[in-house]
Amino acid sequence: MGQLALERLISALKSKVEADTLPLNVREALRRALDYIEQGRANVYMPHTIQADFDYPSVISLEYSLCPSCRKIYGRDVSSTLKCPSCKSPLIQAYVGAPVEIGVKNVIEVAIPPPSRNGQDYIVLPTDRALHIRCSHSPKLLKGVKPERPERPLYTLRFTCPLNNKSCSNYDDGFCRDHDGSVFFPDSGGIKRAIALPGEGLTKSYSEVVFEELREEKDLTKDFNEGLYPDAFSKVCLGEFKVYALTLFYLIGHSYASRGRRLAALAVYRGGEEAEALRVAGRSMTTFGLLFRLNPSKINEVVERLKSFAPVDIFTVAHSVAHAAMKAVVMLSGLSYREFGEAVYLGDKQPEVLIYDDSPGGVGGVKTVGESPPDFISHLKHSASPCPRACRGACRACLYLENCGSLNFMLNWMAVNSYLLAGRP
Amino acid sequence: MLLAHNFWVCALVALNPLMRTVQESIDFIKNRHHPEKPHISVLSPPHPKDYSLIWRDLRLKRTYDEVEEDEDEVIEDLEELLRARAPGWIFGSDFKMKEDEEPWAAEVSFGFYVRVKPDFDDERMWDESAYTRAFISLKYCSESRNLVGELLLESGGGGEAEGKSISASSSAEFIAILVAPQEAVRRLNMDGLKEVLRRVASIGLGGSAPNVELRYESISSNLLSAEVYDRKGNQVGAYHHAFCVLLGHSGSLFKVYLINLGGALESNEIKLVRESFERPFSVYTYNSKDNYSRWALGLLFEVEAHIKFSGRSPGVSWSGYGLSGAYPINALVQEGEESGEFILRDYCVAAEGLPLIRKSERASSSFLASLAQKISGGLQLRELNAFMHALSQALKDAANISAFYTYQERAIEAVLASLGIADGPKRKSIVIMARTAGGKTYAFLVPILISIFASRARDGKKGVKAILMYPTKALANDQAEELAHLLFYLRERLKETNLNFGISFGCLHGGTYDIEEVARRAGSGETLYLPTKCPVHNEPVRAEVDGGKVLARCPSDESCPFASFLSEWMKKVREEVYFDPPDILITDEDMINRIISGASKAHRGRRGGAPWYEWQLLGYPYMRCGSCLHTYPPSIGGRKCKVCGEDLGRYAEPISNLSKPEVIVLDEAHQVYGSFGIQVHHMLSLLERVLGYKPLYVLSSATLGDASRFASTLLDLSDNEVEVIEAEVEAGLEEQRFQRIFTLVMPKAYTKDATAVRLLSRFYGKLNYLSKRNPKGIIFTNTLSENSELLQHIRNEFAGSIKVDGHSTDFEGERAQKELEFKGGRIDLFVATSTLELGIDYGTVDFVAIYGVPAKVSSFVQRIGRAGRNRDAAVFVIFDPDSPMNYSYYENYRILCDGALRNEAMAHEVILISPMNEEAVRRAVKRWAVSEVYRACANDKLLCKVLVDDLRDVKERIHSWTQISKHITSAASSGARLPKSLWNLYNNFSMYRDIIDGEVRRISSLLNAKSSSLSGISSLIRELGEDSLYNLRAADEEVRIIYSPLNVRDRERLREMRYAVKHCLPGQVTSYRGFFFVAYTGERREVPIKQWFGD
Repeated sequence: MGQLALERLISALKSKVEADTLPLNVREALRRALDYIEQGRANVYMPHTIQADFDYPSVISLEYSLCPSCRKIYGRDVSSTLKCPSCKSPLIQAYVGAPVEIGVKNVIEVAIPPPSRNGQDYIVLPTDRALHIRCSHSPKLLKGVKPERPERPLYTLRFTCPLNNKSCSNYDDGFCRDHDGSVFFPDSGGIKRAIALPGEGLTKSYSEVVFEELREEKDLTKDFNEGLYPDAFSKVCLGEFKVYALTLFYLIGHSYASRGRRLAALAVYRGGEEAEALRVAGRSMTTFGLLFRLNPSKINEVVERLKSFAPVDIFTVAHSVAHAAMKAVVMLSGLSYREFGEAVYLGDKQPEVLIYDDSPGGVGGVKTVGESPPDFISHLKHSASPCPRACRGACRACLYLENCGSLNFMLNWMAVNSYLLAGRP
Repeated sequence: MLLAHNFWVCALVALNPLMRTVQESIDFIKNRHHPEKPHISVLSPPHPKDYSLIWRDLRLKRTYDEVEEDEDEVIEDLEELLRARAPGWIFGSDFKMKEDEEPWAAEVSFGFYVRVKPDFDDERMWDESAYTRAFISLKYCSESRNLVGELLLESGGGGEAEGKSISASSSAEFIAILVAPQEAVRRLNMDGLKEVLRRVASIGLGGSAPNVELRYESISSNLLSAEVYDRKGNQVGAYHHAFCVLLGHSGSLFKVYLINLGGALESNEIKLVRESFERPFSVYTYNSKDNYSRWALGLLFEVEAHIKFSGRSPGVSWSGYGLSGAYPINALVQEGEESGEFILRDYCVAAEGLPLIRKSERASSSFLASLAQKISGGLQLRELNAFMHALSQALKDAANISAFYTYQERAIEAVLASLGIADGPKRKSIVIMARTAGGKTYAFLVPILISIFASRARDGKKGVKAILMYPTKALANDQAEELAHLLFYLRERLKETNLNFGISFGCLHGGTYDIEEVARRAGSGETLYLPTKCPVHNEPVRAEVDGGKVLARCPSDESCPFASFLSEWMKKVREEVYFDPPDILITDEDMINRIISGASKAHRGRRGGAPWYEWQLLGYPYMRCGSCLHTYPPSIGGRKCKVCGEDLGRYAEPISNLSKPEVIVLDEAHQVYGSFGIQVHHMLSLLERVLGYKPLYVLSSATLGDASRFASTLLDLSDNEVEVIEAEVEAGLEEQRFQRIFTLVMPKAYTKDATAVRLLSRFYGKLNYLSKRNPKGIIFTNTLSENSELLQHIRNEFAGSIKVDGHSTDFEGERAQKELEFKGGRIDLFVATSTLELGIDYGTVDFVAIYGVPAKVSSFVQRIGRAGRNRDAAVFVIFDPDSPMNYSYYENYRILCDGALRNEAMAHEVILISPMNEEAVRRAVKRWAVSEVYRACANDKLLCKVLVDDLRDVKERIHSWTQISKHITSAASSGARLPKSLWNLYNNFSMYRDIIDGEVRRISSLLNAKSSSLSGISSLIRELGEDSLYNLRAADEEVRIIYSPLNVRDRERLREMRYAVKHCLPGQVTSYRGFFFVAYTGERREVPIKQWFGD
C-alpha cells in the first residue's frame, strides 16, 4: 500500500506539467517538484513545532506596524508589544509594498538554511521603502496613511500628519498636504509596486492530494442515479480512504496579485552535509470520504460541447464537479470548508473525485450525505447551476473555494453545469 | 399594455418609521448620484475579453486581441486592488415554463439610468441632467416568437426625449435588441457581439449553442452619449453607451436579460482608448466644478425589471430548498402583487411577524398546584403547595409569566417524571424545542427548582443538583441573570409563606472571577460587575471585596434586597463555587471536561481560584481547609495547606454526603456538532463513568433538525429513551406586536465592509435622528479577523459620535466585560462573532446586521433572534460577495426572511455526531486515564500526594506511579471500566481497539519510564499534552506554532495539522491574533518521499 498513491501522484504531476490551462510559473514549479520526486530527492516534512517570526530573510518581511488611532508607523521593537507607545491602541501591521510583476516564469528556490540577508532583496518591501512617507519637518518621523473614503480606501489614501500639528503649513484636517497629499508609489528597477495589507494571502500554497480506497461503507449510486442524470456517475459511495496530502510549493506576491504573476517558491536543501533535496510538507491519514466515479464518455462529450465557449479539459470538468460537491457538503453539514478536503484523480479509465473529512477518522462531515442523499443532491444541483454573476470561467460567486489545494486553477461553471445538469435542473 | 415607466420607484408601502428608514438607507446606497458609482443595482461593462470581442478601435481598425488571456481572477484582482469589484454585466432571469403546447405571453420592462455628464458629490447640487432615464417595455409571444414594444429615453433634467416603437419576429430561439447611438454602432464588431450573445444565451442550456437574432435600434439623439473630461477639466472625448435586451425561449426555458455592453470611447488620446479596452469598467469623467470628483462611465444605474406573464405562468415555487422554476442572474426574483407577476431587483426589503406559540388555558398557579398533587415521595403537601404558590408568583414577578405555554407544561411534567418525582414515563433525555425568545429556559428551570426543593426536603443534602451547560460564556452570564431574578423573587415569596428555603447558584467558566482578581482590580480603581442587573433598581450589580469576602452591591441602594440575596445565595467567585458547591451550577462543556480530566489552572501553575481538587462539584467527598477554605482530596490529612500553610491534619473539615447532579442541561444543543460534538459525546460518557450513573439530560434548542436522532447519537441512547417536546405554533396567527424588517443586500460594486458601513451608518444616522437617542445594534461576523477589520472601519465611519466596540483580536481586552457593557447599554454598536448569537436577551436591540451569512440556517436564525424580542427591529443581511455559499443564500433569499421556509430549511440540516474521529478517541483515552488517576488517588493516603503535586521523594514517586500504571492497565483491560463511548468502539472495531490499546500502553510506559521525575499530576498532564486534553473544539492532530516576536503571554498556539501542512514551508505567512508572521523551520519529522508513501 502507498506505492499506488505515489504512482498516482507522479501521474497527476506529469499531466499538470503538460496542461496549457495552467500558468507558466505553476507548471515550472510542478516540473521542478516532479524532477525531485522522480529522482528520489524529495523528503516529506511532517510538522510538529513551527517557529514563526516577523521576517524570513530573502523572502518576506512583515515587521512594521501602524497605529490605527494616531496613524504612526513603527518598526519591529514596538511591533512586538502590539500596543502603540503613544496612545496604547492595539497596532495593526503596516501596509507593505509588494511587486505586482516580477516575471511570470520565475521560480525561486528558498534555500535552507537561509542565506544571509546581504545582497538579497525583499520580495515584499517594508513600508518605508515602498512609500516615501517621512515628514519633511521632522525627517525621523514616518507619516501615517489613511483613506479618505471607505469606498476607495486605497485610491483615496492620503498621508496623515505624524504630529497632528495643526500649526504646520501642510496640515489639512489631520492629513498632510505635502506631495499633493496623495500617497506616492515609486517604480524602481522595472518592478511595479502597489500597496497591500499583509495577509496569509501573501503566500499561497499549492497542494496535491492522492488517495486509496480502503473500505466501502455505503453505496449511494442508486440515489444519485435517481436524483441526477443516470449517466453522470458510474459509482458514488461513502467509505474509508487513505489520503495523502502534500504541499509542494507556494506562490509569493502581494495579496491581490494574480496567481499567474506570482513567484513560485520551492523549499530546497542546499549545502551542508545533507544532499540537495526538495522538502514538501505532508500528512497521511485514514478518513471518511465520498467518492464519485465520473463517466469518461460524458466528460468527453462536455469537453467537446464547450470547446467553442471555454478552454475546458477533462481535469477541469472533474475539478469543477469536486468543487460543486464540496460546496454541497458544506451546505448540508454546516461545517466549514476547512473541515473538508478534495482530491481529483484522472486515471486511465474513469476519473475519480473524492471529498473527505480533513482529519483522521473524520468528523462526521461527509457522513451526512449518507444520512440524507436527496438533500445533498438538491444542494449539488444548486451548486452546479450557472454562475450567479455569469462569469467567464469560475469566480468567487460560483466555484472558488478558499481552501482549494490547487489554487482554484482549472475550473469552469459551464463544465459542471453541463456535466451534472445538461441544462437547467 | 405599457406599464407606468416609473415602476422602479419602490412599491413598498412605508408601514412604519422603521420601514421608511430602512428604505431610505437602501435608496442611499443604490442612488445613481452616489460618488463615483453606487453600491448596488448597477451593471458594469463586460469583462475585457468580451469587451474586446464586442468593440473595435476605429483608429487601429481592429479589436484588441492582445488583451491578456488570463483567468477572471486577474480582473477581480485589479478590481480588488481598488477595493471595488465588477458588479456584473447581465441582469435578468430564466423562467421554467410548463412543458405543454399552451401559448403564453410575457410583458417585460426594464428601467435604469445612464450617466452622460459628471455629477456633484454634494446632495444639494445633484445634477439630474447628468443622467438619461431609459425605459424599455416589450411583449413577447411564445407561439409566434413575436416581440413588440417601445423604448423611451428621457433626459433626467427634462426637455430632451426620444421614443421608439419596437417590433420584431424571428425563427431564432432568442431575439436580442441592441440599443446604441450611431457613433457606438460604427465601433461595434457585430460578429464578435453575436458570438458573445450566443454564449450568453447558452447559460443554463448545458453548453448547447442556441440561435440568436440580433436587431438594432439606432438612437439619433445624444441621450446615450456622455461627455468625458480629464482631471484638469478639459473635454477629452465622448463615450457612447450601448445595451442589449435578450428575450426568447428554448425548450421550456424563457430568458429575460438586460446586457450592458459598456460603450465606445471616442477620443484622440490613444492611451485613454487603449485603457478603455484593457479596463472597460474603469472609464471616468471628472467634474472640475466639484473638486475634480471622479464619476464612472459605462454603467447602468438603478436597474430593475418587471415581468408579467399571461396565458401561462412559469412554475416558480419556494420550498425549504429554495427557489425553483426561476434562475436569476445578478438579481432576486420577487413575486409581484398579482399572480404571474415578478419583479427583479438585486436587493430585497421584507417584513416578518413572529409566530405565536400556543399558551395554556389555565394559569401557571393552577398548573403548578395540580402538579403538586401528582408529586410523590415523602414530601409534606402543605410545604409543597406553599412552594408551588411562591414559584408561580416568582415567575410572574421575574418574567411576567401568568400562564405557561403548552409545551412548557409538557416539558415540566416530562422532566419531573423522568426524575422519578412525578408520575409518567421515565426517559433518559428530554429535548425541548421552541423558537428563539420562546421561553425554553423556564421549561427546564421550573422542574429543576421543584426537584431541588423535593430533594432538599427529602434528604437535606448539600451540593450540586443540576448542571446547566451553555456553549458560550456570554450566554452563561445571560442565563445567570435570568436565574438570579427568578431565585430572588422565589426567595422573597417563600419568606412570605414562612418557608425558610433558598436555592444557591453559581457560574463557573473561563470568565468567572477569583477573589484575588476582584481584589486586585478593585484596588486599582476598576469597577467589576456581576453578570446580572438588579431587577429592583435596574442597575448592574457590582462585585466588591470586604473582609476577604466578595459581596454584591447595588449602586442605587446600600440595602438593596437583591444585592443581599446575591451575597448570600450566589457563588460569585471561583472559590465560593468550590468551597461550598451550589445547588445549580452554570458552566460549559469545557469546564466540566477540565474538571474530570485534571483541574486546569492549579496544575498549570496559575492558581486563579482553582483548588487542587474539584470533584466535589460532582458529589465526591472533599476536605476543606478550616482557615482559608481551600479544597483538597479527602485523604489529604497530615499536610499543610498549600495556600495558607495551616495544618490540614488538625484544621481541615471533611465534607461528605453531598448530592450528585441528577440533571444536566445542554442549552443551545444544536451547537454541539462537528469536532466539538464528537468530543462532547466522549466527554459526557466519561462524566457518566465518573458519576457512576447516567443523569437525566435535558437538551434545548430553537433549531435542531432531527432532534430525536441527534440526542440519541450524542448521548448514546435508544430512540425510545428520548422524548422530544416541541412548541406548538398557533396556525396562521402571528404576534402582531413586533416585526422584523429584513433588508438583504449583496455588495455589487465595492467590498462588503464598504457597503456594510455605508448602509449601516446611513440607517443609524436616520434612526438616531428619528428616535432622538442612540439606537442599539449588533453586527455579526463569521471570523475574528473579519471582526477586527470591520470594527476598525466602523470606528472610522462613526468617529466618536457613538460608542462602538466588539470582539477583536486584541487579546488583552476583556471579551466578557465588553459583552456586559453592551448589555448594560454602555456600548451602542457591538461587532460580534458567533459567540453572541446564542440565547442572549439583549433587550432593546434596534437592529442586527448579519455580515456574511453563516453556513447553517440555524445559526442565522439564532443571530436574527437577538432582535425583535420586545420592539420592531431591522435585520440587515449583507451577503459575502466572495463566498459561493452566500450566493446560494442570496438567490434563495426567502429561506432567510420567511419564517415557514426557514423552519423547513432547518429541518433539512443534518447535525451528526460521528464518534470515530481518531484524535477524539486518543484524547478521550487520555482524559479517562487522568480521571482514573483521580479515582486511584483521592481516597488513598499515600497516593493522595499525586493530586497535590507533592511527590518529593524518588522512591515515593516510583512506588506511586507504578501503582497508578497498574491501576490504569487493569482498568483498561477489564473494558467495562472504560467510558461507554470508548467501550463501544473497542468492542466493535479492531482499528479502534488498536488505537485505545496503543494509547493505554503509551500512557503506561510513560508512567513507568518517567516515574522518578513526575512530581505529581501536573507534570503528568504536561507530558500527556495539556492543550489537547483541554481542547474540545478541534479534533485534528495538533502542531505547536511559536510566534517568537510576541513578548506577551500565550505566544504559542496549537493549530490543526491541516492548517500547519499548508502554512509551514519556510517563508510562508501565518497569522495569529490579527498579526502576521513568517514560518521558519521547527522541530519536525522528515522521511524520504518513497518511504513516506510506503508507511
